[in-house]
Amino acid sequence: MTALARPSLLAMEGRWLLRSRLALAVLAVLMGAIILALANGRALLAAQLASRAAASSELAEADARLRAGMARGMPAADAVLLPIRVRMPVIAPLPPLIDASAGQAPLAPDAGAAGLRSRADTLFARSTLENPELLMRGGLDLGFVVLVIAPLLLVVLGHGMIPADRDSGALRLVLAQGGGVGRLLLARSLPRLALVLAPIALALLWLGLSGPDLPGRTTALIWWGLIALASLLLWWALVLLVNSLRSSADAAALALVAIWALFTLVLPALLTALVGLAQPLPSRYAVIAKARAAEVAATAQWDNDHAEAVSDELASRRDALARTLDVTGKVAAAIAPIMADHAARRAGRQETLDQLALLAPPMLAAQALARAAGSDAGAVAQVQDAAAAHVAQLRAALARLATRPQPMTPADLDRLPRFVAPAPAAPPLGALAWLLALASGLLLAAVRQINRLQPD
Amino acid sequence: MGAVLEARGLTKRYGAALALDGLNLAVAAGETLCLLGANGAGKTTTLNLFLGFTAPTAGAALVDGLVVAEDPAAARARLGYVAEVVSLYPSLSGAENLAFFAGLAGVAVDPARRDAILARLRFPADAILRPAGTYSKGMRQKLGLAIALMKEARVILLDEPLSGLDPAAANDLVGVLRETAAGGVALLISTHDIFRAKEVASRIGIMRHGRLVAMIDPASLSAGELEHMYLTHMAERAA
Amino acid sequence: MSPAAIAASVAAKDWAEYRRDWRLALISLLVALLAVTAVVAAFVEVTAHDADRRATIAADRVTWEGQGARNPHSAAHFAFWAFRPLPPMALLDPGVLPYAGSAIWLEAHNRNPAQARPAEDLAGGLDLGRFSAAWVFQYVLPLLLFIIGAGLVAREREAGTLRLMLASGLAAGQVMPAKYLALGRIAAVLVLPLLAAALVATLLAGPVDGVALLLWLSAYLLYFAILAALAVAVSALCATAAQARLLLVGLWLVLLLIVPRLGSGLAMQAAPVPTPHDFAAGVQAQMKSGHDPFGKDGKAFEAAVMARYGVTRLEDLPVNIDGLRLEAAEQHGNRVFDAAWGRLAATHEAGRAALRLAALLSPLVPLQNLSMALAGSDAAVQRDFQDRAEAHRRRIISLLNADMTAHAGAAGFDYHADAALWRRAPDFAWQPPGTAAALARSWPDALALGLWLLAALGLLRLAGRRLAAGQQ
Repeated sequence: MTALARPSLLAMEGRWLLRSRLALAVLAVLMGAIILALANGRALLAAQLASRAAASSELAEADARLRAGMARGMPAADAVLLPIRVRMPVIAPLPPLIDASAGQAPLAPDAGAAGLRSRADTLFARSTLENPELLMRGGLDLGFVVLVIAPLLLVVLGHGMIPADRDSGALRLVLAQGGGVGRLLLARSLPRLALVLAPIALALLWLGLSGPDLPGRTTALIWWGLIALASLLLWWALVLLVNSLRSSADAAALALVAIWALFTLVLPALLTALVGLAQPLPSRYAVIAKARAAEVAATAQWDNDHAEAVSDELASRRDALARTLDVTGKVAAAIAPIMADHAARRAGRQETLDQLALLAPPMLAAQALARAAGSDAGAVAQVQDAAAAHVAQLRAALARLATRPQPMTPADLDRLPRFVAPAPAAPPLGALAWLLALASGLLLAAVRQINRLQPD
Repeated sequence: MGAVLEARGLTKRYGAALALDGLNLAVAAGETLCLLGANGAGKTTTLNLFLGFTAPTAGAALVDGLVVAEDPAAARARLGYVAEVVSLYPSLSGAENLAFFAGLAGVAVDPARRDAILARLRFPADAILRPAGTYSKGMRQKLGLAIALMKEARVILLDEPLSGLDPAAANDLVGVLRETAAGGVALLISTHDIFRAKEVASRIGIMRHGRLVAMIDPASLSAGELEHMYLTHMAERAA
Repeated sequence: MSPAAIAASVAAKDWAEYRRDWRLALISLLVALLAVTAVVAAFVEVTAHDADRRATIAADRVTWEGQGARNPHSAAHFAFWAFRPLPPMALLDPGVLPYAGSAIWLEAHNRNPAQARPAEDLAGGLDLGRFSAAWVFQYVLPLLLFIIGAGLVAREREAGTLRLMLASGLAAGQVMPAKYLALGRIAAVLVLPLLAAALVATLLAGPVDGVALLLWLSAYLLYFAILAALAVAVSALCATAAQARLLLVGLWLVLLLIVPRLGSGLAMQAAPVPTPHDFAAGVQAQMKSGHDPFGKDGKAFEAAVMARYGVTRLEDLPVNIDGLRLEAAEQHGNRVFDAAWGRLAATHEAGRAALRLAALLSPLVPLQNLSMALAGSDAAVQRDFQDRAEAHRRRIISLLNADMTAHAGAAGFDYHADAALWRRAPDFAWQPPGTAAALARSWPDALALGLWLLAALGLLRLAGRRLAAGQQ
């Protein structure tokens, strides 16, 4: 008899939930948001793919022209300048799940060209044409649905599971029936969770089936799904805990909304701003001013040291090239400490934010989702650091070619260092563990309370 | 036949206030005990103790020989409970409410058995598919009883089941309660309506200040004694 | 009692109830602290940014003037930087500025996009807006207003006190105005000290246009009036306080968090911005295909210049022809830039227009537009900064080309100018366009807010009618 009854309680609760207008409204908001998020994700992915394709085809054409020129042969005076015409593509790897969590990607540079005169601070300077007015409004991606919308919908669906019965007086009869509230809560939880989780899972499945075949996409999808699940389970554990307290439905709703607002809306913005104030980065303006001062000083010194005029074209070009090498080298050296300081402080600041995120689980989940998707601030910083290292390496290699007597050949071009994208970050295991630990803790507390539940 | 419901020195204290003071009583199967008393006499506290909604300060409440405080779930499995206002889910039909509460008790509803119970309770047959929000108080009480009978409760606790019913509905419910008890179920009813208590009870316990002060056989009660009791009862209410 | 007196006494009762609900008092206190923190944080940021900018400009002036003897065109490649100042009211509402470049390199032959976006440097992971006073007013206070307002009528109905109030002589038609006044009073106590704190900090940060500040305040009061009317109306239309609370939270989610993002997403797709590479490649192609006085059009250019000066040999020209060539190439480049950046601006403008459609679905969109415009931190101000910087670039490059033309003579690119010329090149000075311009571009937003208020008051009236019908 019991075996028959258990599924039927679940079936009853599920049927009644689907019949309620509330569930319909929740489903409508959720589905609308998911469709919007998928459309936005698809557009972002397409734009990022197009931008990278355009950059790499443009650079490939430049490379082909350079090689054709070398093959045709050219006057020595022109051949001298070949190293300065080399432009190597620096293309940031496409985050494998950028269409689920945009993260920092809309603000991050995707492609640049490195050459003899490149500097780490100006490599990506041209990638800022987006409409700031739209950037400011923020985006709506699947991560936003999971982190912001879904928890509120869970609160709407779940805040009254027990308190509403307490308010109506039905809780006395419910308890008197003696089946245990735990079972009832389970029967009420599963359909509500399914109502919110199933559309999200379907969206993820759709991303998996319809998306481009990017390296690491499947792994990213799995981790993203796990983090999303853990984050929503944490919210549900909180909903259960509030259900197990002696409160009215209105008080439960108020408490849950206040907690949501504190942890999702207020703390992330507040903590981010405070960390920004407490750990400021070296001024970008200072880098600009320093580079310019170094350029003027190095140019003046060179001109002072090489006052004698050279008559023939070849020698004068060699001279100009040597001057460029000297000046760019000195400028790079002058800003290197600020850039290093910038990178170190940026990493320190990120570390602080990561630690503070332990206090605000939605923030932690947001970072972890972006990390799983490969679009977090850390990934962007890694690409920029790798690009800076590549620029230094490439400049050194080109400088060797520029200063040797023989002209550059296609074989030299082939031997130049290429930009290698940094390895993807380790999956956000720590964040997942922390979210699950918090969820288990809340769930345990809720179970303890539920067993002691009294009707009034 | 042994007692299905038993209180042994049952005591409940809320801070300094003594809500129930060493209550001893026993109700056997097929018997109906009415607890009579003013507000605050300890009737509701007694019901709450049998339901396990509150823990006794001393003594024990037993259902079918089980100490409620030790295993409230097992005790509740044998109990039925009909509140003063039976709170149902207004948007669900009577049948769905019944199925839900039976499901909570781990009982699957067999429609034939359900209809038999409802017929015995004289519940209007066509109303069971209507939303419970449209039910009268009498219908709610009957559905509450049906919920208790559906889980084959050995004991049914009723909290002021007759208050607020019009005379015809009250007469009807009294008849239903008598038939239910005759079916072998023990009934514990809290009420402050002496006249109805006389109609339905096999025994009447009078409570005052948390104590059971008298246990009366209603059959032995003359009209004059009833009136005397009523006045004592009302005097206390006024006090 | 007169209707006004009744409304006042209801408001006084609701105020007393609000004060005694420790949960609401605690939340209000936290929100107040939050707003004060936002103002202090913004004050620190604005003053630090300004100090940084001034120090950079001063240091760079020394570098510029100390570059020694140099050919003017070489100096034109070195050129200047334009740094964007923060308007004092950005302390209240930073607007688009964190998402827009704050520095532009003003080099010869090139119009560079603005770079150094503050938003690139700070990522908390969960971005529901940048922390500022405007953010607290736009998102947090409305939520608080909704939570407080939800119970105002619904709880009275649940507790039966609404019937009692009506039985005591309050006309059903007076309930809604009285409750609106009550929420207004609570909101005023919450909001006014915060606004005052924000204003003081703004005045400390720099000279502010009083009219803009007053209009800015009025815009927010209008916004709160809309939200309060919605809250009271929903509270009256719902059966229970819990229902009203959740419906309002849902409304908050949709109106404030989802719709603006929906609008922004649709606008991005309706008015897609070219990729940086396509944009740069397009400009390069135009530059190459046009007038080239150094290459294919060189001979014609020389002939035209010689004709203008009435000479037949280049050596007889009283000016340096390379300076003229540079200036002619620059003029051609400017036309290309005007066209390309004009198209980009039109794309941004189309995005803005598409986003404005979302104003029909959310009062936050027009409020943000109005708030940013009045604070001098909207996209139009950013575009003005970029356009003024470009005008400055052209002025400087023309100055340097003119010097080359006039003084280089036969030395040509070997001619060196000195610090006297560098000193003649002014620093980039920019005053954001004023309040009149802000109003001229944001009247549709003000109109949209006005319509929202009318709609919200209409809903309030409707709720009042239903209340009256239900109680009689």
